[in-house]
Amino acid sequence: MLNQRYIIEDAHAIEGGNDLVAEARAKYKETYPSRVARRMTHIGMMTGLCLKPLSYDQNTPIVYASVFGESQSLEAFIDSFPGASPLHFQRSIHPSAIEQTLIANKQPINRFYPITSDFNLAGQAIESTLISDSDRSILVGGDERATWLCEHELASHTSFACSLLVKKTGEGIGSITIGDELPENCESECTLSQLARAIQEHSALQIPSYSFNRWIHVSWE
Amino acid sequence: MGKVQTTRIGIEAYRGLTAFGDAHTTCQALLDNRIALKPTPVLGNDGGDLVPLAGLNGYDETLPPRWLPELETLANSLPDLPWGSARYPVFLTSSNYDVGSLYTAKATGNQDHLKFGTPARTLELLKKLFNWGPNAIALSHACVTANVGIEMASRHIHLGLADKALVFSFDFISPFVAGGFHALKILNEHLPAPYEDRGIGSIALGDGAGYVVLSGQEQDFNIENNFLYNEMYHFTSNDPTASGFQEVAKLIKASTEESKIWIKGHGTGTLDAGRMEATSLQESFPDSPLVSWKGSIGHTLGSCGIVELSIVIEAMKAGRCPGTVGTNKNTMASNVATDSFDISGYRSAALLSNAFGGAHAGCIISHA
Repeated sequence: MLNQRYIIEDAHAIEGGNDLVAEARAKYKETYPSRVARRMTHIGMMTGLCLKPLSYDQNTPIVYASVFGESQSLEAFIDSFPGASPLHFQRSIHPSAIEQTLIANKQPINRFYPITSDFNLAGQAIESTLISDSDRSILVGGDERATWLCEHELASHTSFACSLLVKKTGEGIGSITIGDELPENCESECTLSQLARAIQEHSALQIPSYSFNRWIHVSWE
Repeated sequence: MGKVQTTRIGIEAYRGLTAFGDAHTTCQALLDNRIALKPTPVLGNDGGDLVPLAGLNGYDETLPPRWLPELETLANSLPDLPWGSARYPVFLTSSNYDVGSLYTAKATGNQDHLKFGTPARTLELLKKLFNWGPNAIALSHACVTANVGIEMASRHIHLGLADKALVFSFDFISPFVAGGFHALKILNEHLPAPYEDRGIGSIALGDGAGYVVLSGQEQDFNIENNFLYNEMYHFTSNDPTASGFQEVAKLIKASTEESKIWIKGHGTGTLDAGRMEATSLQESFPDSPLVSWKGSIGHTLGSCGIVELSIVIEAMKAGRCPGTVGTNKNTMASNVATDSFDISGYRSAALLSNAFGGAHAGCIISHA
């Protein structure tokens, strides 16, 4: 059974603005020296930074949410044809971003749920985190700006990432509560970037969950 | 060890689609040792090396995409329920979601291809076409995606959040996808021979689609348990100590009380992963025959978990399991079955899938 209330133990967000991977490598060089960063994508670095402060182990389920995933690697792979690049191919495959961090740390994870919708992705990500039915679970998400894919609304125009460590009991910095039933024919949504902003600003958020048919409320201490 | 879910989930309806046709036709073709793979230029109309592919209705990108009418046919066979509304969630699963459309748009300049090609666009298109409501989610975890969708759908039922759940899956091959695997050199001119002890590893790709409708009521065929495990050792190779495959063997043991099972392995035709899978399973389940069908229908990528599940059920109905088509007797482990065999004495089978990142996923299917 689902709880009615979950505790947010820890939460982080990164605003990457208009950065592309080259700017990100310079910006995050203290954490990712150039020899490491050259094998990473922008979203891989941002989600890695959001994941790094969280406490987790093999038994902590991880939900990864991204509308577009590895957009710059996807562009680079498409641009590499006819001599298709194996490096860009493997980096473009969803969910490479989180794997970049977990593989570097040699951290096995039992349950890993990569979701990649668009409509109400924040709601889907939170409900997926809660239904993992574990004492502690992690949501990490984000998107990276690209170049020509943005012209066709096939990549994010901004770069960002966020994370939430949610648990069933104990102390924390905020909470997620399951509220009233959704109204009939509800069409509300909450985007992943809205969730990232709320985490960054510690602002309250009301998010529809169509799976629970309830409102989800995110609030902070 | 990965957590094992302990609620039995009924399979109320299923469909599978491969280059041979529906699940029943595919199972029969496999029992007849037929191979659907054909040497095809890796870049389709743009040429390139010949590689083994099993397309359902062509290979190159088309407008509308060639997967769309096939998915419409599948959707028309779904039970008439308010999919995507509260208590009837939809889990759309695919590895590449026709990302090849983006490659074709770039290569040809025809921007009409850009109407497709991302998970989000595909999900919104299918929601509109099939009248699915907002309770629909897209998942993408490379070649274990369908299994992850089944696990999540089972979890919704287990927690009482769904009366019935639909897991819908497709992955159609394209020059984009084949080009990528060819760049990794594992998709080459050789036909794959899963679990065969030979000098050259090779895989093949094939079109695949299908669905399962799951519920909490026991059916003729049921999912006993789902399990997931992610090695996180390397992007494109498994831990050479075979720790991931040994973990899967433990998960199978924890998932069923049946002493007699047969195993549908992942078995793409690569050498290291194939050897680790076959030998780990032989060690833990010496009496359980192991098969792979990817030497005939190809690897259907993110859809393989559902496509192969549909073939498993057809095999259970027929009482006979197809062997590892395309593989000779010189196998990596003695439990690899190269010929078809009688399964009338078996109640359960384990279905396994692997993916990039050392991902493992599987479930136990039993008939009542």
